[in-house]
Amino acid sequence: MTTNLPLPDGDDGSSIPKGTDGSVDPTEKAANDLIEGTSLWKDAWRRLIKNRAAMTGTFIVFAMSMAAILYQPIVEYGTRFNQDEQHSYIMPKAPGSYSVPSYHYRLMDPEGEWSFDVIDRHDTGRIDAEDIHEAYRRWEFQRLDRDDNGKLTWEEYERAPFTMSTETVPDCERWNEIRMSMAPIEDRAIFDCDADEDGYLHYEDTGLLVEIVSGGEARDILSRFDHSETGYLTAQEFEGLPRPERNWLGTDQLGRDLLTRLIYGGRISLAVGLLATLVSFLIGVTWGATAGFVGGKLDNIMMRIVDVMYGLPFIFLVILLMVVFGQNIILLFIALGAVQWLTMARIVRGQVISLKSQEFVEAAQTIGVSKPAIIFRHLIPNALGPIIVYATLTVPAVMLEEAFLSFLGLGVQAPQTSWGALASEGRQVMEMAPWMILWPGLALAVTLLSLNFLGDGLRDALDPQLRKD
Amino acid sequence: MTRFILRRSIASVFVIFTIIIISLWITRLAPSNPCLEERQVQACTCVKMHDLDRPVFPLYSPPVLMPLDSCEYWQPDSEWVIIPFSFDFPIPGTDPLSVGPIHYMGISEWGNTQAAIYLRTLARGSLGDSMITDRTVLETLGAALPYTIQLGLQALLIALLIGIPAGLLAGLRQNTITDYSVMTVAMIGVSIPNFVLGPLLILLFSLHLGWFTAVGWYTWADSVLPSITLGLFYAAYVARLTRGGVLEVIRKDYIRTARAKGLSEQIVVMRHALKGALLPVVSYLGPAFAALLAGSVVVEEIFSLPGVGTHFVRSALNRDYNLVLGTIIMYSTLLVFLNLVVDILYTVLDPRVSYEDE
Repeated sequence: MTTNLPLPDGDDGSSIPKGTDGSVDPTEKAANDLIEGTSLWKDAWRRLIKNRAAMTGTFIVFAMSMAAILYQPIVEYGTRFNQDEQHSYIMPKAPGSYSVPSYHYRLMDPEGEWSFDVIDRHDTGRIDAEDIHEAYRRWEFQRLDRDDNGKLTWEEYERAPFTMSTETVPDCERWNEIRMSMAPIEDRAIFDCDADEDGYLHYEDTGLLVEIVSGGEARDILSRFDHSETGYLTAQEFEGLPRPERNWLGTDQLGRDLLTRLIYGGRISLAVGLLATLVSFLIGVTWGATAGFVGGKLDNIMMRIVDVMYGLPFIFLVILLMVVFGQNIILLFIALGAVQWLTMARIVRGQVISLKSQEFVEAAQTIGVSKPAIIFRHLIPNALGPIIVYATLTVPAVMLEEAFLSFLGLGVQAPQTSWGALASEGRQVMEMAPWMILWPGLALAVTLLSLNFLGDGLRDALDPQLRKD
Repeated sequence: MTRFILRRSIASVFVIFTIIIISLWITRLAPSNPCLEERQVQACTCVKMHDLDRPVFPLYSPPVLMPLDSCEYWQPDSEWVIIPFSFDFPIPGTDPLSVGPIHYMGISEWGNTQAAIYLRTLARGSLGDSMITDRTVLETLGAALPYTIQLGLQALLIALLIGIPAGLLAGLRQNTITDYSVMTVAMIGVSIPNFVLGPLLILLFSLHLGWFTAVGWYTWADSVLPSITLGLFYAAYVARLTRGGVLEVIRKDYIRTARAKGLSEQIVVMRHALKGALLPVVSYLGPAFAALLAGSVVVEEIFSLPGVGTHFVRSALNRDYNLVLGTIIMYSTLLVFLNLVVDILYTVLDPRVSYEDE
């Protein structure tokens, strides 16, 4: 039942398999120069370059990996957000909105519109606590006043984001009564603040959002940025305030920048994909090569074990392991890699069996090279083509499994995150914030697609015999 | 053939036994225990069982955990159970409550003893009682299994019904625009994880269009979205396999012979090519079952279905040892059995493969 794969160089007799151990005989090199021989790898490379889908895939995977590797500089100079910096929003913000990339100033200048002159209403040339306070109030009012006519209807008030209704404090007598009686702010209680009783709340009526948030915020800003300790900010000090940055892909419910988290999550997802593949590669290649090379009874036993394990609900054991041993990321690599090595072992065994009767192996045996050395120095390098192809196709499979575990809450744990974990978070609020599941899902799908295209392209390039056309 | 089946069965029993032992020790080595859902809180908790007459989600209400002194209704033989904090070491009989169910299902015993107790239970042909709910494991799984099986079969049906025709079409019209578009769609299909597809389907068909309910399983219609979510990935994969199979078979001599005989293209494809072309699909069915069962864990989670997968994850999180082990045993048995069936099916389809000479 074992698949015997053809030699990487197929029946193309012109290219004799060369050990990739680097040493090229000078005479052979000269001969190559003369007849312009194409090696297997050069040939494969040319075929790969011609495959547009595979090249696009390679490019995308490369771009994703670069983003993952360059996470630090990207965060520092690009997105300006920290992946785990919570801004305590209860609503996720839509893609393209702004927020200030620091927890302490989470409400400051949220839309990026405040300038010194705007805040300094009385043209005193200085910004004191009162001005900042006032700026917050106006900002809140404008946010509520959707039709921009300077007065609020109940509908406008009601449609305010959730942050408003909890953090907003109507500043009037009635409010104080409500607050004293500990009654919940419900329905139109706030309209008792409507002084002229025309059914609208005017700016003067509202005093929205004062005590709780902006009062403290104003004092906090002054205490941090009023370096001259005058009690107000000068234009120069104002420049020192953190600027709002754009959340290109929106934020999650805690106000964390989704783009930053996506890049960070990609880092983990790709790392898990690569490392678990490496684990599966090591186990599978060793197992398969040993079975294939030694042959006989040992081969029979080792391959029977593989056959049996094929039918096992491995992923359930992995789930159990992850549940039980607390989502350790190293364990995740090992567990996922340990699940994926079976096919690799089969492929390598097939390759090794077809290679081991060739002259170069006999030659090695004659001069007394040890068995492990023959396997690892001579056989495996020559079987590298199919191994690389299969390893490339293992990466998306492992990434998918990691995402699957993280989605169940069993993989990567906070404060770390991965695309699967992000998708899991997004699912819980997908009605309110569809972008939260859309971006990680898209990132995952595009990466998997690229890796699959790349794997297919590599197979076509390295294994022309396997190509189904 | 009989010898083959016999040998495989014996090997399977051995394999399942190994899995049981491994899982037994994994669960027992885990921190925490069945009665501490919150992990590490009270030294002793009082667990009230809820009545579980409805097969709807949630399958069981989580137990209400209370500190011991608030367990006013507790009586040794009532539905309230007192469970000790530690199971890592045996608790000496000094505990005044040890006359009661403190040795609840033996979890205060040493790991070896616990394993022995479990194996003895198994030997009696029982999977034991759930440690959290008041049902036996067999009852729980029996109630959940139909959902999972139905989900799996429907998904498989979708996979085969979409995948095989699509793969045939692509393979027979190789290198045409049909081929390229089918294969691109299939590639996209195998790249979208089901836990992304599922929520998106809910978003579109349940929340926006309102055609299906978003969660739960009450009528057949509720199983449509989960089955599609689970099946589409495999449809894409089956399409790829079928196309590969068709391309391999279509240039074989016997197809040329069939054509030379003057058979219509339809008969050549349907009667001659299809059988050979489906071989890769058949051999994929074994792994596909395993993958479908694993996938159904996520799909059941997304759609809040009362299937085995939901039980598995919850019981593992709640440390309901018996239910975890029962689920694993059931999964392994199911898979090993299905794999055996697939292998036999394979010999029927491909007489060249024979297990006699092994």
